[in-house]
Amino acid sequence: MNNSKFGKTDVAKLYRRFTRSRAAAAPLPEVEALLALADGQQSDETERLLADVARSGMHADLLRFTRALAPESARLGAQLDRALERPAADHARRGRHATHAATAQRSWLRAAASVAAGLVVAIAVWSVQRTYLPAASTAAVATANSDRIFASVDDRGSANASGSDRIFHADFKPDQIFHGKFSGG
Amino acid sequence: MTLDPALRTRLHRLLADYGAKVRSLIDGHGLGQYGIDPADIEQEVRIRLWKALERDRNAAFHTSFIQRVVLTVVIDAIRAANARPVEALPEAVDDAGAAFIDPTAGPERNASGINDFDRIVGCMAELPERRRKAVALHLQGFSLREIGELSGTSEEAARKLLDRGLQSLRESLAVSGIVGDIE
Repeated sequence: MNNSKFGKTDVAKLYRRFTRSRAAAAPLPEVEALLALADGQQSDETERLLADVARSGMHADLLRFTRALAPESARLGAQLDRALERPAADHARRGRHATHAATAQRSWLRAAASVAAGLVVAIAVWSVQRTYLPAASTAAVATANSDRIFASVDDRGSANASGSDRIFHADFKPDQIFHGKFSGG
Repeated sequence: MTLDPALRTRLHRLLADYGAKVRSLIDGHGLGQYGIDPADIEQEVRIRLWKALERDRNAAFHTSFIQRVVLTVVIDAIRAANARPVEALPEAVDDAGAAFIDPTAGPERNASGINDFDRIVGCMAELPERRRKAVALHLQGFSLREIGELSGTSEEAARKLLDRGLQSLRESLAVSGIVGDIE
């Protein structure tokens, strides 16, 4: 195995050196795509250009140059407005806006995704409750009903305490018969 | 368009100042290594902006318009330089602009440099795309904030991608026989 000893920054240096040397092979960037990428805009075109920037030193240099050019160009625009006595436009705004718009859009998307996720969870919980609660209630009633058969004797006292329970009490008359039989026996 | 002489002088001065800044930025970003002459660019930018002013003095000179003029001139100049059949590279190249073959390095070191570069690129190709992009932009000298802005992610997300990418790259390079720190 061939070991190469690098200093602390040699890999980056080597990468930059050779990606610049091979720059002539890469197609030159489109001005509009370069401006859009420098503004922080996201599109297929800027994605492709960013891939070129990653592998071509010339593209990386041009992108850095474009970003550095923005404040100077904004300053010139404002100076020309003053010299020509035109209403001052916010020359720096476009770049900032694009960046802020991209950031705001990302934040908005994150917030929307959170709300959507919350909504999905809420609907899921509601659906589960809706599915299981009636079944649970039925089961509870069934359990209560079946329990009543076995607890009919004990219920008699409490049935007298409530008018509505009398109906159920009436249904348990057969128990009285058994009770009577046992009493007689 | 007729401009009063005082205004004409003032506009010329503004464009001259701007041209000087453009030239300084071209030098500062090492664009001269791609075969363009910063002085030519400065002059061409001034001429184009002056013509635009003459065409319509009421038109707003937005940042993007001015940038577009400069970038068009620069990219056209690089294209013209690439198209020239034989054009000597500038004699004095700084580190960033070192030629593909370093004449002072000797054949062995040059060959080793090319091999190492190819191995680095090979190891990077094994990384997942987002990590590879973060690592490549880092190696190209972009800061974490810039990587985040350019990739449409937060700085923190960019840092995570870069950390994981560099870790994987370090391991791959070690396997390939390249020992060293990438930071």
